[in-house]
Amino acid sequence: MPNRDPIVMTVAQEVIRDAYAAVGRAERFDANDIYYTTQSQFGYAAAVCGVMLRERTATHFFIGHFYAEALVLAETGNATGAIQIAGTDADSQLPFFICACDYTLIGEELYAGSVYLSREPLLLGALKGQDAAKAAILAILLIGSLLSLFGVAPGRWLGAGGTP
Amino acid sequence: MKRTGPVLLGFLVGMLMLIQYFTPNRWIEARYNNVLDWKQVVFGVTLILGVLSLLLHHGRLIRRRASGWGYSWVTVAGLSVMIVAGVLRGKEHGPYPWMFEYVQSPMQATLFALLAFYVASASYRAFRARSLPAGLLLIAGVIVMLGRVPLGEMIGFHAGERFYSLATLSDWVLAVPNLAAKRGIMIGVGLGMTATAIKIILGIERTYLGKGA
Repeated sequence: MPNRDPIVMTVAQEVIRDAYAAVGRAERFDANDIYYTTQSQFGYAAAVCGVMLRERTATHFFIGHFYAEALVLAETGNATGAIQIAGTDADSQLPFFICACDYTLIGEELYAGSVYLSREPLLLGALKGQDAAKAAILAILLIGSLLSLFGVAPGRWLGAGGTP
Repeated sequence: MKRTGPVLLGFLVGMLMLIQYFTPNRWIEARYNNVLDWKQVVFGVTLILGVLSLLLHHGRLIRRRASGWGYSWVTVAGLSVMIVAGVLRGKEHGPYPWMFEYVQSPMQATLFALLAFYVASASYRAFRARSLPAGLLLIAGVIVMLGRVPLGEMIGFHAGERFYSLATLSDWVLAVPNLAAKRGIMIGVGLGMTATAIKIILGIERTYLGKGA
């Protein structure tokens, strides 16, 4: 697992060590498999693409916030024929992942992924609360749009000077 | 204590970072700056660990004569040369800035330029109109691409005094359906980030501490 941030690398080593232990394969964990590459955006992309092409990795997970390197990584991975799962909150990179990956977690699904897998009641509750908040925001947007359509400016009530 | 300590520390630092955003209090601002300084210190230490892990990883590849082990030599040589050049002559003079400007920057620009070809191959796959959504994507893509070039401004029709070009349609596609979808995603992302941050600060989400936390 190549890393671009050394702080994340040290955390990732611990998380992956735990994951190996959890499935009873602690002896197969090698800390050298989780290593630092570079902070340079395209230097990192080049390093990861090199690993994909040389080692013919079977599965790629692109999880987190991405910039222009997203398509370089996803297209190279696609060319190797690997199964690719992406998840990002960067809306500008979502179309690239959708084109080049087998499965894509869109926006908030990225944060719901761990809850979906763990099924912990407390975390599921937080997810339900999140959905309720989204429904409330949607309702406010709809009401605001309708009021605006009929010439009522709710922003003025709040001192925002909305346009009628 | 092994679990409570990190959760308590996470709560205190998380709350500090949250509160400093809403208050101009100088004491809190000073503590916020302390945290940023500590982060720099932690980063410096972990960077040493990171460089060490990079050397160990590539050293192992070279020893095993793994696939593409010659590239590992290039990585180790590049790292060593830059460190030596930086230590001997500094970052402003000598070979360090020269190599940065004439080796690293052009290589980064080259990789960035490759994006054009990656976009073309990804678009080809996405635009194959094999289903209704793919067909709609193709139509929207053609409208937006043509609308962004001078030719698109000439294609269109007159309605009374006004001329509606593909550029106008392209602007509408970007400003209305595209923006509506983007904002929907952004609202979800905002709520997801807030919920995750609250869960971590309050110690509900502890997966970063490892299994069984």
